[in-house]
Amino acid sequence: MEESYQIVTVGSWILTLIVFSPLVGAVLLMLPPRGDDVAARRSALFSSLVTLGLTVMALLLFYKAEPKIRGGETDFLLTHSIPWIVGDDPETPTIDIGYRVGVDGISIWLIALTSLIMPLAIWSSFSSIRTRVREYYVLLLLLQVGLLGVFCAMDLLLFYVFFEFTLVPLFFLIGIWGGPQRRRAAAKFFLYTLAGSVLTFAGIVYLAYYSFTTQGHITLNIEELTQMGQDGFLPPYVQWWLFLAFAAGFAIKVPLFPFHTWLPLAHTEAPTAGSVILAAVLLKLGTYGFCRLSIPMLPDAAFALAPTIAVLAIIGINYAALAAWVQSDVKKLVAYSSVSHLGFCMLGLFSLKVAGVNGGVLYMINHGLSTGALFVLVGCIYERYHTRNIHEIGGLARQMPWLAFFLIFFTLSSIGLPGLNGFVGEFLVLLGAATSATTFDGRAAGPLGFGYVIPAAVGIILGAVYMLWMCQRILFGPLTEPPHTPDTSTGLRKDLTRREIGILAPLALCCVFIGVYPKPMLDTFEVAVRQHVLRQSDSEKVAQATVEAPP
Amino acid sequence: MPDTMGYVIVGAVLFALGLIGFLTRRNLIVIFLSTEVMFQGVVVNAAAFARFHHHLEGQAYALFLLVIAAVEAGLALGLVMLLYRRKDTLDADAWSQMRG
Amino acid sequence: MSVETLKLCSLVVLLAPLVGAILAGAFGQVLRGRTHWPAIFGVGAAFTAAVYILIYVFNTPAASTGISIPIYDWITNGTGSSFKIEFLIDPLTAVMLAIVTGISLLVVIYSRDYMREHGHPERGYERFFAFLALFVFSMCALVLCGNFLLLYLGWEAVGLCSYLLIGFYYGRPAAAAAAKKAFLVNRVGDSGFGLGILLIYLNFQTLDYKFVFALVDQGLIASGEPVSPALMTTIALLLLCGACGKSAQLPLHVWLPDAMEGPSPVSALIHAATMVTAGVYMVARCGAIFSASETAMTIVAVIGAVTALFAATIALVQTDMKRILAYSTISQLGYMFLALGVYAADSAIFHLFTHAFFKALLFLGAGSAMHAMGGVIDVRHFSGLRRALPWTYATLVIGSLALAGFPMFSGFFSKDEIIHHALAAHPVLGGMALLTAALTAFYTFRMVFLAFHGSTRVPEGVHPHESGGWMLAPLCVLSIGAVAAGYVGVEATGRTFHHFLSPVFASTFAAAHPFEAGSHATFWSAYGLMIVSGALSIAAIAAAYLVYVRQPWIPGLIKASAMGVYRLLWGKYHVDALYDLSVVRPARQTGRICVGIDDYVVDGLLWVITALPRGIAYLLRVMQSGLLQGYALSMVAGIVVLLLLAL
Repeated sequence: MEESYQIVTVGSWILTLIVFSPLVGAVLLMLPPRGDDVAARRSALFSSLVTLGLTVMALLLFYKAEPKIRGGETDFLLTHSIPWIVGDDPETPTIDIGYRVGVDGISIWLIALTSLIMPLAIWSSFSSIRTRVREYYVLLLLLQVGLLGVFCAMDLLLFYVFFEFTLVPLFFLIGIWGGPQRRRAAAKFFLYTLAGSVLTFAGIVYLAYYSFTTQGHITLNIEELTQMGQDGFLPPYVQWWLFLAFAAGFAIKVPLFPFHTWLPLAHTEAPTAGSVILAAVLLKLGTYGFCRLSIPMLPDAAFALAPTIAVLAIIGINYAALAAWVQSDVKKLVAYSSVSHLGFCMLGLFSLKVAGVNGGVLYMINHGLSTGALFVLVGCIYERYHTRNIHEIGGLARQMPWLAFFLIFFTLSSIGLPGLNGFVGEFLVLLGAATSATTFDGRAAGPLGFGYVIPAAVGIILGAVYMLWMCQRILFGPLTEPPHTPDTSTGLRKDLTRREIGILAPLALCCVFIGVYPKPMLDTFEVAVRQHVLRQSDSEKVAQATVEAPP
Repeated sequence: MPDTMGYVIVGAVLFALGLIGFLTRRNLIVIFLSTEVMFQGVVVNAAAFARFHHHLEGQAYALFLLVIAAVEAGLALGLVMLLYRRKDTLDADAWSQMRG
Repeated sequence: MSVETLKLCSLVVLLAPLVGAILAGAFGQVLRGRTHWPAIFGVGAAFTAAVYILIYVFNTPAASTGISIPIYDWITNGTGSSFKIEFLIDPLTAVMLAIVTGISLLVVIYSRDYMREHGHPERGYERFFAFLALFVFSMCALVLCGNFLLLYLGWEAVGLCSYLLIGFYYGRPAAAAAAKKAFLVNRVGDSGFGLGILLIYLNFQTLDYKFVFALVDQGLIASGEPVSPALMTTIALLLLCGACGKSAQLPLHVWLPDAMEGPSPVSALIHAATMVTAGVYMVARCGAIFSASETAMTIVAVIGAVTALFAATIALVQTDMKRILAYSTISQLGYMFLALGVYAADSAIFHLFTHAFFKALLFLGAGSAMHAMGGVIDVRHFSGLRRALPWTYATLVIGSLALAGFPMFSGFFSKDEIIHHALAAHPVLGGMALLTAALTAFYTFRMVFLAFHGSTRVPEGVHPHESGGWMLAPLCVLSIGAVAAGYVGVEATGRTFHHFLSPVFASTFAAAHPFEAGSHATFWSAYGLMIVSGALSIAAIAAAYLVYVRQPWIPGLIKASAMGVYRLLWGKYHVDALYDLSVVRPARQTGRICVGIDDYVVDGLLWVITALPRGIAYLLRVMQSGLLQGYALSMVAGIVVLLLLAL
């Protein structure tokens, strides 16, 4: 009994600790006087490693308590709830907004992804950031606070606050430490995503207003709202408006074609760590929003609008792949590849099948790992050659065998080679889309069908085309280098340093592990997806009611 | 009483003169001087109505106003000093960088 | 031997090469010139286990219908169950495993000397053996698998190893480009293949071979409704896409000739004996699906026959020895597809079996010559090598005789069967097969005579010497196979090979199209075709001898008089250019259009949308005069307005 008490108390606080520990780290970073860059770097890395340690603890606690979710005793684990704005009468509150955090199978792994990527991103900027070093790491840590908060928020207002909060540090990161067009990129990124999320906020306000007028009770508790949505309390027209409002913010973040034009610019101009975080985690905020909010709460609208979104996703897949093929800037190529891959993710999510949503969620994790690594590699190349133009560098494999190994490895992961992680996600997404109209998994039939899979398969071909083309131009053939390079002034050497290999190796190991044995992760996702994301078909509800009915 | 009308007029005239001075003069100190004059107009008004209502509240309020005017004087003159040090001139037009 | 031992053997077959690859890759820098040992041990262990499996299956009647061995759950599929990693052991698997591991072992042994220059290992020696062992792992995974998902994994994995090995000499732009081309053309086939697999899952709700084939045999889909023929045809054609890509059939054959940029052992193993036969294996394995659709079978046969003839004509004029052999491989694979298409799957696998021996032999022999010639393989630059390289010459002639279908060699028996079945199915197909056989014999010996006969001339600065024991031993072993391998499938030995495989095809190919076995009414119908094809082969060889050795002015005359045809054949029917113009360039142009749309249309729309706030800001900017009094005036005005409103 003592032990379970311990677990409960630690479990309640662990998420709050995780979310705010980077904030503590940031504050501590600001205290000492300016000037000691090395100490700043080390403190930032230490802080992010502390967060990573806490996340591992949270994962262990999660898996220890997971049988409770499977058994239906609870929906979310490690919850912590502090009421904030509550109605006057504590007995029957008419307003219920508070600080609520909790995780399920999907959020815990996204939190794990963030906590893993952040130390690697911080470590990767050791040699490339030379000016205003302390502020840089403070901003990175603040960014981490926002990201972690989004993934475990259980209250809509809290979700939105963290969602918006991530914009500010990234704006400064791009605008100060970025490339030549950083001002324009930062402004475009900030204003574009802000415009979308303001519409999302309007949706949130409307949702609160609507629930007040119909039920006399404003709640922004995500669990309650999901239940409300699935039980059919929101009429279709309300669902449509809300879906479009939410989608305005999330679709821009994903990014879904045609709302993607901020991404290539932002990625190209951002510093390496900024690009890594942007690609690996920030883009997932949009897909996570769809998966946590839009699809569960607004099932009818999601069903009706899924074909449109799927079509946009498919266009995005192929369009971005073709656009990536003709780029001469490597970073822009990888940025377009992100758009292409997240098209697959969206296709999976909106197949409204367990396999598809599972695949979509796994795709989020996979994309974070492989594209994050690709941006680190591009950063390595840029630090040595000060150019990202494919036409100016070539044949690097002879000189940089480690770079060649990792670049080919993550290319293969990115294009979905079976045996690596990308394939599992891709296959499940296509499986979900193909079987969307069936009821194999016991859930209601979805809106897509086999016809959607055919253009996506073309996208798979194109995905291999531009990635292999990039590898060929950069790695193979005769050695081509700009004059006076490689630049080893900042402690680098010709091939990857041990630090850089140390950044890429964990990502590679994760890729292999997920590719060979994804079952545990997929099982966790499946439980969460079945409970929270997809609504049960009527026959299942009846079956469950008869099971739960007292004898 | 007819006397009150006279005081009110005096107060109004003072206020108006202060306002016009505030809006048209360019010297920072004179602008500030005009705000002081506006204050005094209001003080006179307050004292007049105190006399009219046979109540001391207005006069107390006038004392408050004087204190406020004094405090504001301290602040404003401090600002004027800093501004003068920056541009070496007391011309208000020197500070129109946020044009258009 | 029990099922448990069988499981252990199959795991050894699969994992020993992988372990060898990892060891070679991880310790390559340490082992340097001895890195071939992990590879040899890994592949050797796999071969031993494969032989065990073969003996087990041979002796166990229960295995003839396939033993399923699950290993672990791989991917959950959302319906509560998972796709597993599982193996299926039946006669077809056993035969393929033995072929793959056996030829791989010989190639690995050969490579120990081939990948050296003057005794010193080449740059990347360690990498080579790691990738080679990785390939053996992938190919075994492809063959051992028990469900379609694992098949797809093996399929793509062999494509990956092919990419890595073709691009082995990555400093050469041609090699890097060839590797990329191979991967992408295979990807095109693979996406069709993937669609076929998804369609199978959609209709049969499972990807397990046994369940799918059982359902197809009954003619039902998962929900109990009857299968529509159109569905089976669609699935079969989609699977055929993948097979055409992997086995370099028309129209996805363009990658194989370019793949000759890789080292010769790679060409021998991957692009002759094993990887390219994966397509044939897959069609044979999915016999239930293919034989359920007559349309698909016809298409398979037609593609096979046309490809065989097409490639044979191109090979007539090529001058690069390896490219001649590459086109010959495409042609022979065409034969195998033709056999599959006329419901003679056991003949197809038989030809696969014999072809593995003599084609690997030919490639390794060509490699031996190339090694002696310092990397030159164009027959215009050397000739008369039989005096300098006697062993290479001897083994190469044996392989060529087998390929040409010379009587009593292995190729003769297997090719003859296919021609027999093709003639029985449709005279046109049979005619094409016969013509191709003649052309095959002709161009094969054209190559031999051009390279090894005539006056001795070698490229500048080259001193040819015979290859060492490490290279010659595999050549000798393969020669024995090239001669004798055919005898396991002839009447005299009771057609052991075919009987061994017959349970696999009994319910599929054979059931759909039973042959009248044993109806040897007359001497002519039984042996007539043999005599005809044998004579054809001898005649073609003699013609080649005449034209290229005795009267060498003849080829020039033919070329001059049929220049148009020659140019067409030399340009390989301009298929590459056709693809470039019709697919690659439009795609790139579309890419540029997409970027243009991004920059002008989408961003332009954004510009228009943001024009509204920008316009308002432009108008309101006037208010920011920067003058102190201006602000003061607006404050006063505002107060006045408020007062008026209040009063």
